[in-house]
Amino acid sequence: MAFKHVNKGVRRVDAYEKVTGKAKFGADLEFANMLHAKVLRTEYPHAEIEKIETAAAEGMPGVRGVFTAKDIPNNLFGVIVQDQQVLADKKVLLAGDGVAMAVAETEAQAAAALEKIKVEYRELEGVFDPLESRKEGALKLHPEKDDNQVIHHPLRKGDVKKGFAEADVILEREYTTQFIEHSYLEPEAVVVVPNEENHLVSVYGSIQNPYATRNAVSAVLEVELAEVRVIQNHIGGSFGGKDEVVSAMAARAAVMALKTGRPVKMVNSREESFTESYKRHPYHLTYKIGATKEGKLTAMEIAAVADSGGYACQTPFVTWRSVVQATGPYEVENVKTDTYGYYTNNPYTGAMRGYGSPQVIFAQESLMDELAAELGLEPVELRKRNMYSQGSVTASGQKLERHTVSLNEVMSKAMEAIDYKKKYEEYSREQPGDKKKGIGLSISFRGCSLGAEAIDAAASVIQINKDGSVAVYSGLAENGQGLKTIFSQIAAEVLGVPMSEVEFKELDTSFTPDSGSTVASRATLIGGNAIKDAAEKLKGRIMDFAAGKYDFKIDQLELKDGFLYDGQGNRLATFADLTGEMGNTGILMSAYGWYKSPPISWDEEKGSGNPYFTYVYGCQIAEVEVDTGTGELSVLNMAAAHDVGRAINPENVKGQIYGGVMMGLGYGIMEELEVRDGVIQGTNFHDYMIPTIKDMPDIKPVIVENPDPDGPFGAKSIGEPTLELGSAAIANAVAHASGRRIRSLPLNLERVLIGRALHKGGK
Amino acid sequence: MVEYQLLRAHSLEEVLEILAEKKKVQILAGGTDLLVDLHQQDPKFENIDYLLDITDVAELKGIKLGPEEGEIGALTTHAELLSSPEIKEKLPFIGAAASSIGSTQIRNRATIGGNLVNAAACADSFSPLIALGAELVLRNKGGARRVLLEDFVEWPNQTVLKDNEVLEKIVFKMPQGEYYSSYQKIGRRNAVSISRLSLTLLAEVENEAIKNVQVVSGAATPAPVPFREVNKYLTAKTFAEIDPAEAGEIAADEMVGITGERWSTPYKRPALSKLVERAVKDLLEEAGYNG
Repeated sequence: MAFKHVNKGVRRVDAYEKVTGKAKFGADLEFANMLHAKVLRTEYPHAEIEKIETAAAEGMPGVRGVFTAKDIPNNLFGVIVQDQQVLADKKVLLAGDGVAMAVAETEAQAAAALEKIKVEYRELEGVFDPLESRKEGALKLHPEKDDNQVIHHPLRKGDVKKGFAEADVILEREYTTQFIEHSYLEPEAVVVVPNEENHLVSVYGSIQNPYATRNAVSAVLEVELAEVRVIQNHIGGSFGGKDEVVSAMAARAAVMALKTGRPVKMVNSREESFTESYKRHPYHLTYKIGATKEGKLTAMEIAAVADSGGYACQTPFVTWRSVVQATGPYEVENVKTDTYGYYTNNPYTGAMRGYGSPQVIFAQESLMDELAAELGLEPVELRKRNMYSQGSVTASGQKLERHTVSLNEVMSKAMEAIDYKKKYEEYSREQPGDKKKGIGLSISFRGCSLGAEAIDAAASVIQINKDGSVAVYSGLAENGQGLKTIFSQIAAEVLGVPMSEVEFKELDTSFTPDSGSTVASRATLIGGNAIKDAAEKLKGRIMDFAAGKYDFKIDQLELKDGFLYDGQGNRLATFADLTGEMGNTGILMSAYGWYKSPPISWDEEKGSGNPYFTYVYGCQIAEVEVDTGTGELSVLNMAAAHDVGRAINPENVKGQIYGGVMMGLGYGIMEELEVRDGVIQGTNFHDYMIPTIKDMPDIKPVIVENPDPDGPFGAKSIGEPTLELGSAAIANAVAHASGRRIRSLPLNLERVLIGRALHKGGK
Repeated sequence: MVEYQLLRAHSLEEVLEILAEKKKVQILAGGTDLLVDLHQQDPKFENIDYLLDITDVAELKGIKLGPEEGEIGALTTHAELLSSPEIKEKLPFIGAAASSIGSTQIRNRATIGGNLVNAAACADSFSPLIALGAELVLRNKGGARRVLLEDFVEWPNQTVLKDNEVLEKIVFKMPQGEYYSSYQKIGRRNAVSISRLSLTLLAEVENEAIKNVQVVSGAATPAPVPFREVNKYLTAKTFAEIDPAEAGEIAADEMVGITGERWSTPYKRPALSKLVERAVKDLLEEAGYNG
């Protein structure tokens, strides 16, 4: 199929305003009469609040109000479980919980007021390890619950006892992963304006999920959704991170805006952002795997324990994705998987790019290499003998047949791109000197979109103006991933207009239909279908009208480049004249688009069903050099092959791959938010290391296209798959190079040299 | 809120005048450490009334390497050090250390004098200069005194520089005859990285034997110091008598002797030992010894 706009690396539609600095971000917003607010956060990970004295702060210069939990109409919110406090009421559950807030004429005055607030705490013992938290008799953190368990997802298939009995080799291994900061460039920022254009509150800012934020603000204020308007601004990165933390911020600002009757702005410093924001879940994973000596897997038994921190946040769904994908893309007859989340007094954990997959993939793809070594097979060979192919049945019993199962293709193409075979052989031989090279790979399958988490549907609106210009609205949000461009390309393709005629409009919850959250790498797949639906409805009307007007059959007519053609290459009309005339004859030139995903199913008791309606497949390979004398690790080259169904914008797909590979590299070799007894050690980028451009390997992106029957033009997902594979590929490469198998992330100097991490103050 | 008055001096004389007249003056050079602390409202600034910007003072800039002696002005930036052809030719380890510091932006601002006066335990400028036996010229209105660099730091972030003094320049004797040097650094990433360990080796060689040698580490000990035992082991030995691995072990023992067993020792011990071993091995190889 020849495309005009789709499948082309067109320029981003928001590039100009971003590179010229014209784009306005949350912190850039100014409103007349605006106040500034700051939050006082506790340093205690677990304590009862005995008394809060605010009188002195209220009397400070410029201060227009000081508020505590008692001023919040409804203090509890949450996307899944409503257990997160807007401001801590009786108890703080994590170091970083807000306890009071001050609003003043300037930010400095608000900050000065915080210093005058006196809070008396009674410190409580804390629980800082989910493995302690799950023990019987552990201190209960949420007294209204039976225990500290946030969630437990079981999955049962076949009979693992029987499976292990059939095995010639059984391996049992433990893996651990760390807390990770999202490290978005722009710290959180919101402005709430009261009583604007017939809304009780309008919320502007750095918001990943405008509808989730609207839900939270309306729930906290106890007002109707229609009274709350959320307008998304340009956002300086999110990666799953600007959901609950920004909702809490918006709710706080909304309370203060209504109390003062003035716009209220809140902008986090980097340190505040580190202290307050949720993190990626650390996991403790135990894997038991059985295989025949021919290398056929017979059974897997998996337990994954996630640290949820003080609140449930997204833990129930994060660990659900883990339970679906925990075995990796391998056929196993007998599976017993349990994933858990537990409350602790650590920073709370939530959505982050990957969402429960990077942890299990690190473990399971490391394990496959360990098993291969045990069996005397090459890593690729063991994978080939077990990985999914067309018609394979997953651990949850889903038959993979609706889309192309392309594991073999992605693996082969990644291997080719990095010259895997030659390097594998070369580095498998004895290497002289301390510096050793190695190469390692990992593969994955990933369910696209929300799956059985929630109803998976999205909407769009397209409006053709009388001059032929096309305005496109979506209920999903641009988070930097390129959504505006992708959706504009889809609209232009269907309507046959140039990209310059398409204007993508900012998301405003008062105009655009609720489409759920922009998460789960679902925007192109679900939202793109909704755009396509609206565009096709309008195209249908245009073709009907044109067929009547020019007396042609519809299939003889073609819309292309902003003209109507007769199929013989003759122009009949311009798009603008044609659609203008339609408008003038009273034809509705706007359309809603809607897309609801194909049916899925999930039995929560057994962990069986068809959890996602389609999957993507990926393979990443890392080539590393390990200095076995000093523990220094350099990732030299990486190849990343991803089946995206169809690349709506191949350049954008490459951008996602480069970014995801780098984030995965940081996860794999250096990033770690150190939390000691609930307290974050180092709350800025001085202590928290993310990779620099000098740490960036040569990355070879390989786009694999097997159009999906359910995707718009066959497109699926790319955002998250790019991050989930790197850590295992690197760990496998390090083991190949040095012989040292590291089962904890990150692979820092100490782990690479002496096999264990060292911590300041520790032994 | 930290409050101070900003002064700017345009000559060394003016700097010394201000230092003599006023109390509670903090000197501002490249600002890459100072401004960060200032933005964070570090309590140490509560005791500061004046910030004295000396970045315009030309007398404090420049690199002069003579046949016998060399000097580097305190305000010389790391970027200037690493792009200097003279440094590259005669003292490559100084350039290597400079290039390992921070990022391009930091190297363009940060000065060698600032790095020394700030005296972080992990500061990268110390070990190469200590290996040179460098002295610091500390000047006040009354005159100048010279302090051996290894005696300059009393404790991390604490030096012997007096309130009325400014670090004018770093002076040293140029290595003579046939000499070899190396600089190595281990960090957690490839840029904007604080040293976990660094090491300089500088050796003068004669007749397949070591005449003079300095092995100095950074970030291994609270203040950078020459490894005297290693130096003793290497000095006056012929190449054939030297076992690089043994030199490494001696250095590691010496480090632990100074610091005691710390949380980081299980890593630093083998890593430092390896750095020393490599430096010695490289020296022997470069000197053409094939053992």
